Amino acid sequence: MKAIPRPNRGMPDRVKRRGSILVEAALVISLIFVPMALAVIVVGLNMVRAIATNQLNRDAGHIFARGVDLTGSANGLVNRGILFQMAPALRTTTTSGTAVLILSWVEYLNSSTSCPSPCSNLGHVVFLQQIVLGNSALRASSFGTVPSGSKDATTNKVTSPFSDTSVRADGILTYLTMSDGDTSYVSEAYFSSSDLAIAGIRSPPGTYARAFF
Amino acid sequence: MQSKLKRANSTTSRPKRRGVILVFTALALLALIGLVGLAVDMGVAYFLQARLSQAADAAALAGARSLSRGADLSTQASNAQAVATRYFNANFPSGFWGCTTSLQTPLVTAYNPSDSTHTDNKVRYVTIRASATAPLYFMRALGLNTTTIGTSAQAARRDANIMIILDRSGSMSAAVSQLVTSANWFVNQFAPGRDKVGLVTFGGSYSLVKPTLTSIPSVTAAINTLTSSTVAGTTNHSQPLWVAYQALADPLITNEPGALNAIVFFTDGQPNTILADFYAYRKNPSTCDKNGTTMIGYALGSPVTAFFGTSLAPPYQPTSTSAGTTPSAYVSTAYDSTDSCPASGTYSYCTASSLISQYSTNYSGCSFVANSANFTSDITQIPPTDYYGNQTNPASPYKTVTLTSVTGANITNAAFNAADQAAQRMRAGALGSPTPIVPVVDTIALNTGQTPDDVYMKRLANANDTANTIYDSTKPTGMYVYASTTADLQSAFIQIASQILHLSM
Repeated sequence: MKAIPRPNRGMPDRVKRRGSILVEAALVISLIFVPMALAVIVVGLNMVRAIATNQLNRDAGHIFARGVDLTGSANGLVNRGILFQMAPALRTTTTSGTAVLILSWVEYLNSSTSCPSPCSNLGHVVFLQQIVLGNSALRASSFGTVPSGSKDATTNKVTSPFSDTSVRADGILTYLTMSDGDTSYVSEAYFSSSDLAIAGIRSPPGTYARAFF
Repeated sequence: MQSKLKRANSTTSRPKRRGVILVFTALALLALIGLVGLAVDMGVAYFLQARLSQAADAAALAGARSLSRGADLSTQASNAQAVATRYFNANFPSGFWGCTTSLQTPLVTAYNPSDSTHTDNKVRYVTIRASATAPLYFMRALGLNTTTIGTSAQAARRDANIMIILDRSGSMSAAVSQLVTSANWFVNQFAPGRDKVGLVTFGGSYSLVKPTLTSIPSVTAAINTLTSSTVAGTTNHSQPLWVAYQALADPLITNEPGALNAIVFFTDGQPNTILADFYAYRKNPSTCDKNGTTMIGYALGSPVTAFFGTSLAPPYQPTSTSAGTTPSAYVSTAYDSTDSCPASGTYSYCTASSLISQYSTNYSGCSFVANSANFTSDITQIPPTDYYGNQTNPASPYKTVTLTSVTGANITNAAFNAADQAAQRMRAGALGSPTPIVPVVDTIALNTGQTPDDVYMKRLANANDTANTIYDSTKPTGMYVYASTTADLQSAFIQIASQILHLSM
């Protein structure tokens, strides 16, 4: 039986279709799958960072509330290093990096017992200590910053919590009900995700976590 | 025929292939969205689990910390529950990320709930159990609208036995009001019914309020007797330190190794007085005698002087427990009642000369009878230990002392060394049976004119500080706080109270 020759119609259909499939696939991949993959990566990274930030914040707040030395003493410096080693994803050292950790010890002064004379902060929550670790330029505490002149350079403890009006932290009462003489430990962590910033969409880029112990 | 068939096949397959990418894309998108949705929902749930866990942890810690608030155990438990609930809500507020939370009433127990024996081991526990119903965003497509996450946390608060030592020497007159306020604040940070708080006030001698489960009101009352008119006297550090340690280790009072044992030592100056058996080192025992009875004495380094009395136990303890007892009552009232020492204010005051003149049958060889400042010529050396066995010139002394040279400077240095040794012996567990008591020692120094010796205070506390060359990491590490003015006193006591509460948790 003799084979019937195939009619010549220029480019074969299969080849034409193959090309169109490639174009369609390229379009679908570039317009749908790539953005989707990027979004998944960004969301995933942010999720990882949010969890890491929260975890660091919790661990730091917990050990701070338990009295672990995180001051500028020799022992405290070692503890600071260990603290940030627990969160390598944050790429932060004790003085620089992409995250900042703010640990505050506060007291509510609402009587002459808790605020002996000379007292200028009666009725206020005041910082007793504030330790800032990491890149302090990234973010300040939501409750106020203790001026460097108001605290000891090594222990970071406030020198005159009862009379220094610049160490008030009343914003805490918005979140936590306190009684006279109550002390509380507040930890705040912020991780800057400027590398994942999308202009006009994510501003300011970063993850913030706060905890009261 | 074949050509027709092929053409027919080709025409029928073309429309099928045209939608392939669309179908593949739709299917892939469905799968991808499902996977991404699952990841997002799981991620959110994981995040919320971490936050819930953190909130429970914080609530347990804050609850345990507040177990000190309240005059009795039930009030303390109620306070702890209220505080724990407040902290939980602050960290995981209602409606957080659309969650519905459920916090069980915080459990406050005097035993570990997970220990079936329920042994009271001097520890109280605050247990938190909470759950949250978290919304799901993508899994709703599969009919799963929410997921429930749960957590629990526990914090423990050890009972504390605290001895507070307060300086009531003469230099405290301008600062005593602030000291009373701050010390009272400090005392009230501890829990009646569980914590035992005692008090030693000192000048040249001491006064003691024993630590018991109900002693806090007595301690407060004793502190309130301190006024600018009742503070007076010299500064003897080794005696109050050792008396406080004895109180913690006394099986009739405390002696509870399971509890946190702590000594808080406050002073505004440097030691200049020591209690020791100087009489044993008389140059002329045959002509300087007190009826053959051993006499012990306080020696003051500057100005050089001495006071001697009997070795009634406890030595030189005024019978009044008032912290404001004038320190000039060097001899017990029991002794005074029969010895008719000259009165000084409301208390009898027996100087060495008056005692000797009344009771020594042979005192012609005692130079100090004429003038107490002469006592240096009556004795051959400074005793090698104080009355409590603390070495005045140990192998590695803090201050250099030549015991055989009885000078004011050597007496003062011996007083430093004796207190330094007292702190080290405590940390070595010198007292306490069957388990030695090893307390934490915290120190506070106030500057009222005489600059405190920071290194010495750090040594007493075993503070982890480069200036403290004898820091021993195997022993309890204490804290030293320096208050440069009286306005800083309360802040100093806050720091110490916080440190003790940290250690008790």
